[in-house]
Amino acid sequence: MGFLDIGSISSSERTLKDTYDCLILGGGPGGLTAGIYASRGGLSTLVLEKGMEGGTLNFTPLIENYPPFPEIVGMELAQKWTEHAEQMGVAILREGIVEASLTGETLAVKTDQGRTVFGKTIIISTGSSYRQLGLASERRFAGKGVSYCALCDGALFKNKKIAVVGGGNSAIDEALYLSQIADSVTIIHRRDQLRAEKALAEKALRNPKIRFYWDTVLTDIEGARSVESLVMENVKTKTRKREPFDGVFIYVGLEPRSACFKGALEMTEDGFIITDPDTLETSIDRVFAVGDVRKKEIRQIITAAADGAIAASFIIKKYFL
Amino acid sequence: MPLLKEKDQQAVREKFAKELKNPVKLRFFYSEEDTSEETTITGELLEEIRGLSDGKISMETIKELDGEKAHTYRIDKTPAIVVSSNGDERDNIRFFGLPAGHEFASLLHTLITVSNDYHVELPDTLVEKVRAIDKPVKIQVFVTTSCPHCPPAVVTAHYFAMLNPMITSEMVEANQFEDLSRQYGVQSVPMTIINDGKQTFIGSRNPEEFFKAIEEAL
Repeated sequence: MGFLDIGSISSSERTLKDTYDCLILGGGPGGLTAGIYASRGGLSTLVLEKGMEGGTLNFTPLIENYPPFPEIVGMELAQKWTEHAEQMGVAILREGIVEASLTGETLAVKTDQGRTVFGKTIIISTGSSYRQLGLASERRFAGKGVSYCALCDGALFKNKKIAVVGGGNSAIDEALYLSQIADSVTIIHRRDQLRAEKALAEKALRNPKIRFYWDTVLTDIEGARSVESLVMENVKTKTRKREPFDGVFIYVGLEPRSACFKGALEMTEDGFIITDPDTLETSIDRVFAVGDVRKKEIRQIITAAADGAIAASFIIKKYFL
Repeated sequence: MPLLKEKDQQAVREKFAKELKNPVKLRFFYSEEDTSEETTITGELLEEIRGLSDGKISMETIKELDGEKAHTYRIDKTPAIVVSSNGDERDNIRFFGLPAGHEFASLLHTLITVSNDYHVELPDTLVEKVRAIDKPVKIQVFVTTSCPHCPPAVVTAHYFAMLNPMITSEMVEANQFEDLSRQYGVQSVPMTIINDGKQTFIGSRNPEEFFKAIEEAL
């Protein structure tokens, strides 16, 4: 028998303050680490998390590059991180945010449960979700053979033939996980080599259940009620082919969860929040952004955690000392 | 060998000691034809949970799928679990399939909520709307046990059933009930089916949005 999750649904924090010294939006590695640092710095700290504490960690089957854990299941790391934060006095509220008011003296957010919470400072750590390719057929078959969550839906493709689109760390992580369930996994990648880190790439290249279509892009998804075949094009030779598949998992990049802050904060065209590179303060004073949601070069668990530590420490130094 | 590791047993015991209030009843349905490993393990798992509750949780095991009890509780497949407060005979909060992985969290949370006078964590305005439903509603939430998005969907559906006996809420483990999953074309979870397909949606929705789908199904 596999794991038993005993901790991921806990009762919501019942006694809330109106105003927190540090209000953290999102409970992934960046947000929880910021919480740990802020709380240890003596600030009253609330983390708002609409899904599961640990954020994207929960969706990562296996992590091999977060030291000092040579191998750790994402969910386990998420639980350890959450326990650590709670031990340090971080309050966690299981609500998402629907609105943010970042002008004026008091910063405020409205949650999906209709609650308003105020913060003297805010750290945005809402993270990112997986980006869609943008095909019309991708939207049509979403949930009908097109998936963005291998841990959720992989089990429904037992002994089936599936494809993974992408060549980065996420794509390869998920392909390796899916290869344990599916009959075969075909990685469709637009370049002639993987962008994923070498150790991970080699693992996939050695896996007998995984094969590669290099220089190939997915151009259409076909089927009656669900995915039946994929249409692909070789970007070099321009030749097209159609091949039967039962499902396709798409990992082609990240979409920042920053819609709530559009217009209020400076962002890149893609919606990544621009921060001061040293302090991680955004274009508005007392508002910070950490982790995947901010404009940065390297998005890793460890860099998100570092961001959290930097932002919280700077907040203490600049606003509370 | 117990299914729950010692550390987890301790955590569940502590959680129960702190959060269980009134007695809770677990009804476990299995059938002799169903010899699946999942069904056997479900029974063992429930027995272990019961043992960690300091007498707060009682369990009734019901074997015959075609028997009177299964009929009374509207059980058509196994393994099945019905959770209710010890004093009442409600059958509208249900789990089909082994609630392992993330669904174990759904089960624990359901037990605790039932034990606390069905006190759900939903906004008051929504509670009123759910209570006002006066037609039968059946919610099936298809899940896999490795799906981190799934427990919130199951818990929301169960909350609705706790508030209103007209609403029946079922967790259905998609892999253990393949035919049913195929019938509804389940290829992504959580997938929520309301009134046998009147409304269907994929993914986890906040409770307000979830409730809108119920209104649309009526």
